[in-house]
Amino acid sequence: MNRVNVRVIILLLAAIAVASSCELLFTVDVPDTSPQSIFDQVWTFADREYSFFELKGVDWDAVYETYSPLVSADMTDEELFDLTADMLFELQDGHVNLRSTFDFSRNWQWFLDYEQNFDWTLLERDYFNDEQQYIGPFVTFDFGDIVYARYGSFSSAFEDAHLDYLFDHFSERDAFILDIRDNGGGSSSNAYRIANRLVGEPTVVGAERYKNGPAHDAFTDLRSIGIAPPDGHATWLKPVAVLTNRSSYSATNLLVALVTGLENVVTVGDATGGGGGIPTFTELSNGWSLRVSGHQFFAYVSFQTELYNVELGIPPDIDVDQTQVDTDAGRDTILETALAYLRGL
Amino acid sequence: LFTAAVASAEDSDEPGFISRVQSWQETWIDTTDAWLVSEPRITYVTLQDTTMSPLIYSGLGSGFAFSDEVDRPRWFWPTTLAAGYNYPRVPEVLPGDYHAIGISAETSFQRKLTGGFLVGGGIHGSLGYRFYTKLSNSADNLDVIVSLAASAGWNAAFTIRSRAIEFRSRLAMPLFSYVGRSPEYSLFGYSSHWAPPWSLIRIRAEAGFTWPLKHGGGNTGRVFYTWDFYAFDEFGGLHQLRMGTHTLGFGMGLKRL
Repeated sequence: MNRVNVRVIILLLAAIAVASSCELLFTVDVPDTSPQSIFDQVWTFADREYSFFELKGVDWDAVYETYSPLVSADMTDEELFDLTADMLFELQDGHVNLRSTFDFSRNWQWFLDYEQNFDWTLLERDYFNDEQQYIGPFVTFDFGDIVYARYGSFSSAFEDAHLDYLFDHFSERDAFILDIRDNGGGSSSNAYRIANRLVGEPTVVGAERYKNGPAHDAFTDLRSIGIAPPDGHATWLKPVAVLTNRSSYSATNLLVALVTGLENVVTVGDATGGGGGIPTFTELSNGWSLRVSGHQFFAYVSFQTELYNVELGIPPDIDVDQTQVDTDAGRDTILETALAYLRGL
Repeated sequence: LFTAAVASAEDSDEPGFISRVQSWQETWIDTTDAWLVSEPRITYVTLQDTTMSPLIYSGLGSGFAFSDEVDRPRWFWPTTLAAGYNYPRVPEVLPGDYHAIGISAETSFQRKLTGGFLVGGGIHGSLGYRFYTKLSNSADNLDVIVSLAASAGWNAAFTIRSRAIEFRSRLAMPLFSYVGRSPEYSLFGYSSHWAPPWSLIRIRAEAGFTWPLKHGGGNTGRVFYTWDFYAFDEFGGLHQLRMGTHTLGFGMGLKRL
């Protein structure tokens, strides 16, 4: 091999090494971690990705004008976090959260401003008397003519066999009560799996759309949403009462949206808490994470002809609150209302 | 008549079809070198996917590649399947596991020119999948890139202490690509883009050495460095993807022809 070739090889290796070490020149500038930069990253992400500005009538530019002057270069992380959380609070959305190592911003007014309308201890002590049956995550109680099942979290996994057992074993009962009060949500697929068991044929129940651009009104086309009975599995086509309160949120709100228009389903209790938008997440340059709603879900409901945006909650068919008289007497007003309604059919 | 025709064919000096194929096959084998190459790899990735985070993540990983190389007097035709996994980190951020998986396939036909130069082109497909647990239902992101790519290379043979060594180098860039990105806006759906070279900027450079193994019957050892960098913006720059992968591979080629 001649010396020229050796030089060329060395030159080529050096060129590749230099080029590859320069790749950071092609990366996008990472925003700095100054208070103003972090504040702007939060505002901008929400501005581009949040899906309910128009529904809630929030002037996001005006919100910036209100809060941005309060940012100062020497504020502490905690002060910046609190200020930014206050800004996000304006969105009135439980799916909008900022997370840091020291706190988690939230807006829980969707249930804190309302009656709780649920007392698990009352049910355990005054109704079940340790006669309840645990079918996976479903706590069931047999009233003889009506079967009751409580599902406490959509994050609790269940098998198809659990629902098969529930609907097969109690198939002789006249009606089914599904209690999803104080269920803050979880996996939306679990909502679909339950809703699918409550129909006898494929049924269109709503529509959804996703944010697909930075403009506040940039959405994908509406896509119809349907539910359908799963092949080879048990279904329940008799009357159903779904018990709700303001703490029925997110995936729980979705289940109500999926079934509220069905003829065999009645909702009883308080309006759901809402949370109709699937959240989208990002990370900020200081490592905090942020999520905002980035989706909209619409349901066919009985009280209006056009599709209903479920973000702000779904009013029940039978609106009833827990009364103090019933509490003192060890009675669950909402459950009793559902039992009376179903027995009167 | 039939007997006469057979006798005529037997008397002819022209070889039959089967004989001609066999002859061509023997010539092909005599003039072709081919290897099946297996190559464990050490990788280092630097990535920035602003759909998930503005931060630049980087970290070590490992991978493996299988190649088939056909070397003829006038052309060189490598085909490679590769996969790698990296665990990039940014130390100062909140806890969360960032996983980056890459899979690629390439076949490239390279015409040999004088002076050790090669030019050619081929098809290169890659899938980059990223999963960041911290981002919950926005945790997944991927890019699918299929490119018609042009390449240029330069090879040189030399000896060190009477051992023959071949230096190979190659630079490849896409002429036109299909880019698929999912999910769109961190949420849902699949966005497709047809990307000319100024839209998807991709550079793949490799350089390395191969040498015949002692008593290896034509089998070769090899060490290669590869740099693959791509940059792609979508939706007017709203989402920006930058990914560079440095690979050091130590392979062995089993001679099959």
